[in-house]
Amino acid sequence: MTNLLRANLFRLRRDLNFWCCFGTVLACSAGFMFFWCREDLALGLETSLEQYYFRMTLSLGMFDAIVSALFLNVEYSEGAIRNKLAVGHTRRSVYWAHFLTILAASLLIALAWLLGGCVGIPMVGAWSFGVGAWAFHVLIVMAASASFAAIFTFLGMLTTGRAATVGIVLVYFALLLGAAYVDNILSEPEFMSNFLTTVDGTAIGAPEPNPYYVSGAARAFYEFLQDLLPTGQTRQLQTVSVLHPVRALLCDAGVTAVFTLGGLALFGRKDLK
Amino acid sequence: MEYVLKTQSLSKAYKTTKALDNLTMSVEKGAIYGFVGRNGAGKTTLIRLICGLQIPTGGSFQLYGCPNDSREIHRARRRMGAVVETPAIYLSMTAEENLKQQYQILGLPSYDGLKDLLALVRLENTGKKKAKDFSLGMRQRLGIAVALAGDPDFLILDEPANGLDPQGIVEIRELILRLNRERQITVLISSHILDELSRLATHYGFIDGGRMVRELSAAELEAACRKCLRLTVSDTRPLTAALDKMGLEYAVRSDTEADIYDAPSVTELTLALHNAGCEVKNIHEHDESLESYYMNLVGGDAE
Repeated sequence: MTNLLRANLFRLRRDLNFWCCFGTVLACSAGFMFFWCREDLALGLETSLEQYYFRMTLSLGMFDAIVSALFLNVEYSEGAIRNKLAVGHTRRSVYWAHFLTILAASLLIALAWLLGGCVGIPMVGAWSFGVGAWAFHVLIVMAASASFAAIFTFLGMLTTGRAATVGIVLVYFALLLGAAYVDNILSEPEFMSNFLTTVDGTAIGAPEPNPYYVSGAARAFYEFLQDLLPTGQTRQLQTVSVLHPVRALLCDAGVTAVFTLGGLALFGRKDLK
Repeated sequence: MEYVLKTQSLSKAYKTTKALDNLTMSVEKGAIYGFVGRNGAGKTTLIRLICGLQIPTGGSFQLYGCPNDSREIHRARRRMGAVVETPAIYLSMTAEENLKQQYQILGLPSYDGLKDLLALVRLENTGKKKAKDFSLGMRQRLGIAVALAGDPDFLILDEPANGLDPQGIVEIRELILRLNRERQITVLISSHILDELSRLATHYGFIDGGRMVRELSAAELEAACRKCLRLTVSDTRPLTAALDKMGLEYAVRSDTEADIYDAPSVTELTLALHNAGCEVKNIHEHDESLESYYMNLVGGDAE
């Protein structure tokens, strides 16, 4: 497995798609941070680094999807996987090596975001919420990246051709939409007040229960879904409002384990061409 | 006799079709084994099974004596190189980078021998040219170089001449012959280009509908396809007596049919048979090509 991993990383180092994504994340992270901070400073607003720093985390999964889809597609279309098996590597080693390579690529893309965002430090100062909280948030980003890597490796190793490439990106957007849907449900206020128009002008009516507000077990379920979906986690990170950080980390561990073990089992039985 | 590969009643079925049906074959060490069959006969399926890309649904095979269900089969595969369908090369890499990649996959400690390997397949002067800009023949040769990186003693080539121009075909043929003669590499080549195979193979396996129709050596095939005079007579006993008397080489095919390999005097022979009371019913020249042999074997149109 070590040989395969070394060979995959050798190829990743020469992979133009990976470097394009890495460069784009780095440039966007630095660029957006610079413009946001400059705007706040120009308006004289008091701001902190973390207010903007985690905004880009939502799009990291998309870059992970692009890199993994293209990397794994080349492995199949150019016969690399069958070559690895033909020279005596086990299916288990091949799968693990690819998962670890995609994981490395995802973590490096997250690193590009981390580095790019530091552009804001000389402008608005460092994070105000302390090193511990910062490290915990970064850890969730890295864990979400591991979940993305496990999901995309699973899809990329079990499907072939261009359909797989498109499929991985579509799955990312499906996860994104799923997270947006859950977020939307959870954002519903418990009480709503209507605006009343009277002869004296407008007035706010008495608060009434919101029929769309979910509570009890249903709310707990949606909150769990939000923590389970890596896109749900990155949506929470975007606004620096992770409700259950430990549970989010545990969910990432669970998603990574389930997809990797499932992928290993299915890839072990798959007929390859 | 030492065998590199042996299959016993090997079968592979997909949902509705049987790609391999109780296929039994043996590849002798040092041979160039021509695996012949029309498209869809099961050639590539067999190669996929040997390479571990697919799992048999029945039967078994042994690679260097190691059974396919043994944990050691992966170790046995390390002695093997394969080009299955298309060459396993990264198109965005140069020939040298592709070989470096393969050396890493194999866990070789250094890049020693890489230049020699490029020279062997005549790609030593490709420099920074990416594999995507190579001709089909160059890609095929690079694929073979990749398969040779682990210094295998068994090489599997699936349709290596497919899509190549005549020069490319000659280059691949010469390379295979060189590998077999100079490095004693056993080669299994699947092909439906019979003429090309006949210039290479020392052994043949004819497959049709997933079944092995016949397995024979090149010498046996040559004998079967040898130019001869085929006689149909009322009784072959007086015929063999006459042929022995005339000192001619022959083979009796049945009680009424025989092949004569030398060029006899037909007048002298028919007179001798007439005197012995043997009636000559039919006499014609028989010259079977590999193609017609194959067509007779599997029936229908040869590809």
